[in-house]
Amino acid sequence: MQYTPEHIDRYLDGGLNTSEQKAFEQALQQDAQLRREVEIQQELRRGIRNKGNDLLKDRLRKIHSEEITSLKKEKTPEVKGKIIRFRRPMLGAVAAILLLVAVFVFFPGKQSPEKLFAQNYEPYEISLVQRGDEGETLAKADQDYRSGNYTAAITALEILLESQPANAKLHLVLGICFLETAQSEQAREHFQLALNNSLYQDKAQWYLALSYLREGDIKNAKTYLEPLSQDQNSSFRERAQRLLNKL
Amino acid sequence: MQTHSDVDLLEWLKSPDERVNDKALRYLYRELYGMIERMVLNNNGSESEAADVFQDALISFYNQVRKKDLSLSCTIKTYVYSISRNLWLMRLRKQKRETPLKESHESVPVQEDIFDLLVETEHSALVKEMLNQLGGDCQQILQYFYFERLRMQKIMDLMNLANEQVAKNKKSRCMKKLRELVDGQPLFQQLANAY
Repeated sequence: MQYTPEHIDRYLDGGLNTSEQKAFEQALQQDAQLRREVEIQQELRRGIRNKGNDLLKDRLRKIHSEEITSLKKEKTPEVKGKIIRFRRPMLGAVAAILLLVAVFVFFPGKQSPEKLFAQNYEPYEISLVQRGDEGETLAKADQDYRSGNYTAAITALEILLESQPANAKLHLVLGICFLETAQSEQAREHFQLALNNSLYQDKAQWYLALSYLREGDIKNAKTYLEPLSQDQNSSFRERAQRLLNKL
Repeated sequence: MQTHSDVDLLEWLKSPDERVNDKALRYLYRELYGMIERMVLNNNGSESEAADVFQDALISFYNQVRKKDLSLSCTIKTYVYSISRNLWLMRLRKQKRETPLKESHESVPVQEDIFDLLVETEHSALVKEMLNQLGGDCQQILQYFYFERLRMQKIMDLMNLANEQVAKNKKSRCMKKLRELVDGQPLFQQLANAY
């Protein structure tokens, strides 16, 4: 071949001058081998950039969950401040202190739902691989899930669910991956699908409740915590009871 | 909250330091997400679709800034809004539920080819998988060079390498390894046979 890999690199990375560029493009038209090499190299670069996009998307999802939740938290004190401003300064201060005291005396255990989410949430520890001979995709999903590589796990799990759409365990784990990447709606879709299976029902209820809690939706969180707190067979029963008491 | 100028934000997005990039992304998130969410919600979309569209818009904006082929003739706000609305229109079209958009913000025309940076092909998806088989250093240097578009000089600093030539050689070696990995894949052999 007339052109070296370095030359191809420079062509693809925009490092050729105008006349070199022209010569290269002419050679491309005549040389099928060269065209093939350029095409492969383009796909390599595209793959690397796709991966970069994925990593950046993970960062943005994290920012989303932090910023959107923290914006919700900020709203409450703002409103209080405005009410107090209408009164005379001293009275305002006294009222604020009284209010604070009252809050501590009457509601000692109340915390924001988002905080309760953070205190109670952890990804469910589960192994997807049981015999070790169940295929590469499952092994990969399992490894990605357990190493916290949730975006990659989502891709693998979605592939697996195509061939076994009723697998409750996969739905549960996929739901948790979506929770981890701050996609509550998708998470709930999959938890709902796991509810039908008696083995995973309580786990799905627990994570459904937490997903609502994260959004400050206490009412919906309770609809899943209440049956769970009565479920004699579930290891989540006590946790559900404790959490209900704090809501 | 403190406000930052567009000039500062562009500077931060170009920084080799991920934390500095994140500072800009976080600020843009706080400032612009509400507007994009309203646009998507007002036009048949859900909250999670809004988040997805906004994130993809920031990714293509970031890529364009890093690629240095962006000359803004409007504010970042208007530009990111314009990218987002185009992305949302594209999705509506794809799902065959396109309607004229109800909008409350001005927009500017956006070059179609910026969305090319978001496209995944069958082949590139496979490359993405194969990347995981490279060592951490290799993955890092390829991200620095091709995704973040940093100069060799900067990469040499960031990775504590002796000089630019060492960095260049390392990048070539990593690319070669990746090439060998995909060469073994039937999908890529088909590509080769196409000629």
